[in-house]
Amino acid sequence: MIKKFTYSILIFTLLSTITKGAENLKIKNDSIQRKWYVPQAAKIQHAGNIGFMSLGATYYLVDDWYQLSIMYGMATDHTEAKTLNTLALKNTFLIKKFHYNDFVLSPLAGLSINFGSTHNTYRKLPDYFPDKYYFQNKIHFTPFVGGMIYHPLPFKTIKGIDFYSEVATMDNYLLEAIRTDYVKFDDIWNISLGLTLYF
Amino acid sequence: MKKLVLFGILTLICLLPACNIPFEYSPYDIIVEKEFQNLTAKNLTKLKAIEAGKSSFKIALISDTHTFYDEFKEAVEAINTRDDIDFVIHAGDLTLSALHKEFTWFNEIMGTLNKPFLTVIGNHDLLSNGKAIYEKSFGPNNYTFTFRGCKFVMFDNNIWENKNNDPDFEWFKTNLKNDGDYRFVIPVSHIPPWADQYNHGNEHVFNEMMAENNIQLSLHGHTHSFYHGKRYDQVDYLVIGDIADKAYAIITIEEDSYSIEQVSF
Repeated sequence: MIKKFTYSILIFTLLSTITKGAENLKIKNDSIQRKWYVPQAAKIQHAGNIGFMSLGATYYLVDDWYQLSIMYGMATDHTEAKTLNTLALKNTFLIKKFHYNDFVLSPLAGLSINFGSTHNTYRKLPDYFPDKYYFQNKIHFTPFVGGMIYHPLPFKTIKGIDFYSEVATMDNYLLEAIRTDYVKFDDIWNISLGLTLYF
Repeated sequence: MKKLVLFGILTLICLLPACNIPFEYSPYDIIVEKEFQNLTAKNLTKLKAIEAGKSSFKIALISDTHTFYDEFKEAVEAINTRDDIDFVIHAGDLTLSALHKEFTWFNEIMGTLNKPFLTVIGNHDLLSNGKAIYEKSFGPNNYTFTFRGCKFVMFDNNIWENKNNDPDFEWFKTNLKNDGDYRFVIPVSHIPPWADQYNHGNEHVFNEMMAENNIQLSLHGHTHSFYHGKRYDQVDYLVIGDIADKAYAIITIEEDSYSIEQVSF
């Protein structure tokens, strides 16, 4: 099931780039006339609470400073858990772009909404629980900050690549850091690394 | 100025990975630092080392620490000041959501305790991959140990988080037997039999086993409020409230009697 989903994302991304390749013929004023479902970029990320490795399709929703990435990550091979999968809606805001020769650098910030799938995670509790016995524990909000460095590539299909790193936390951790003296703000961060391929 | 900003962003991108910040794959991951693994066995070894020389002893009972880290830390500090307490029992709900970081924070605080401690698993500890984290950090959910002529039966009696399956009553029944001429057999389980997860059938089964085995005292948490009494006219039930109540119970076991005291900190 997981492999199928991963392959689907890969195939979808590849097909999208081929479709987009055909659309390159219709370039007007440097902007591509894309179908709505064709992503502008693909991400591959390590860690960040979206699995050991996550893959995703990225869309620019507002010009090119707000990216929505739909990511799917797995950690099953790197944990003792039988299943440990995450679907994430990752909202990335490029705060300000700085151009230096061929490079573009930007600090970034954002919020990822992560849907976890493992043992005993509930969005809606099974019927045998009384109402509101537990607060849902399937969806987590993970704010992050980081930076990215972009460089164009001389290829038709992949026009550019960026490398990014982010420092993130999670709603539960943040709440405890605010609510208690024991949990320090130093204790709640994790780091992730990723690449974005631009089509 | 522009170069300074560029340098700042580059530093952010390139040096972040070099910082001592961990990679995290999932909040539900099964991560237990080596020092916090097999804690039940490690604490039983400590208990064995202090067993000889006396027949009476004192236990401090705490429960439902969840994410009340500040009060929990205070409780540990308060118990540390007492030389007369031999060991501590935690009656379950070590965490709130059973995330690996919550177990780590629990173990860090409990690690400052200057006495041996034993735990049972609570319903909150069974969320997400909590069962696997608990087993890695402590050991089996059901276990027994003995100390100065008494037998303790540590029992996972959670139902709903075990996919609405009944607890392992067979194991419980077998291990409640006084099979070693013990002065007391004391079961410890998170949920008292009259609480939410027990239907009338299971409540009856639990009490029947207690009566059959002449159990005098049973220890619990879960309800977040203190209770001490013979609810069913036979077995003495002690339920300790959550740690935010800023109280723990002291159970003093004498040659052929015991006494209960609630201590505020």
